[in-house]
Amino acid sequence: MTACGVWVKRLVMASPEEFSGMVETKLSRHVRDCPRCAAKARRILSANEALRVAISGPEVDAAGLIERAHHAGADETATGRKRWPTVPKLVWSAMAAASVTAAALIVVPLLRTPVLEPLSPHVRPQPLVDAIDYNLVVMPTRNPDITILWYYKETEQ
Amino acid sequence: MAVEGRDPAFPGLAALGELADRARDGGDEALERLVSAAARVVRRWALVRLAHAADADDVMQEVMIRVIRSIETWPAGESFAPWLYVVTRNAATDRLRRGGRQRDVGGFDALLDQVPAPGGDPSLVFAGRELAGLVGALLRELPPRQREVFDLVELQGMTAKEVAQLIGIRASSVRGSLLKARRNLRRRILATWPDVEEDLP
Ligand SMILES: [Zn+2]
Repeated sequence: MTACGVWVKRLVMASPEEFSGMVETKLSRHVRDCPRCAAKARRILSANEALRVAISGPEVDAAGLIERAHHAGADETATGRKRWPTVPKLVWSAMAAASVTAAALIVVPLLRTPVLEPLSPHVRPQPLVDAIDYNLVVMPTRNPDITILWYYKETEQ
Repeated sequence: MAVEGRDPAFPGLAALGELADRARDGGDEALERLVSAAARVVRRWALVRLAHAADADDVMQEVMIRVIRSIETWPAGESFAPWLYVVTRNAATDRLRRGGRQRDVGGFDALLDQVPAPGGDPSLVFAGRELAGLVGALLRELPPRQREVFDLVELQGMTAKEVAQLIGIRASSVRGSLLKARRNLRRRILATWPDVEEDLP
């Protein structure tokens, strides 16, 4: 273990405030003065942020849920088979119709504008979500009205 | 880089209680605002518990439909969130008991070449495979209590006391689980980059 070993031991247990400079401690001072530990601290913080985004999930269609709750039969609630109110029915129909043998790129027909701006490397992809027999990645574009849903089958990669 | 504080995507427990009170007092708009906020919270609780996105979505819908249909029976104010948590936990447990789908939560790697880290620091870029590994480490490798506490405290910014109140355990237990989760996850995070691995204890 190098001279930093003892600090890394503390780093893996400490509160993020301690190594993000929000509070002043021995550890925070070391992180500030040591480029190697500062790099580790940054990676932990950015990994936290990535995890936070990854498990946040997309917005929920509240109006759709309310409507379903008010109108659907009790058996639908019990089975819970209707899925992802955030995903327009058109997309699910397309999924059902297509026998997808390769990753499919489906542009959500939520768009108010037909112009699709390409994803920039600076656009942070949204979290992976799951679908019956498919994986689904929800990716925003620079245009807030456009979201790309990417369906694929894991076994086909 | 967003480092600390509340996850902006998620309301605090008190805010959820206020939304619930307003929704119970009537009005479609108030109900929609409550459902919009609570559904994401419920789905995330379920995801962390079940480690499966599709199952979590089923649980979210089941819970929210129940909530919407029984608007007049909601507990008031601050007790709303703990009540919602218990309802969600029971639904998730039931789902686990029935088997769930138990499929892999991963699978980013073929889709996302690189995920830029927040703050635009080019030295902090997550390859899709690395991010998938992180999500897998959180949801698959950590015991349920650790991942639950880690999400609530470390990612959502709740205090140990708030979490204790929410999930019905002691604050000291929350802190213990948090420390274990941090150690497990951060060692994994640091090991993802070989240049920092050498210092790992
Ligand atoms: Zn150091």
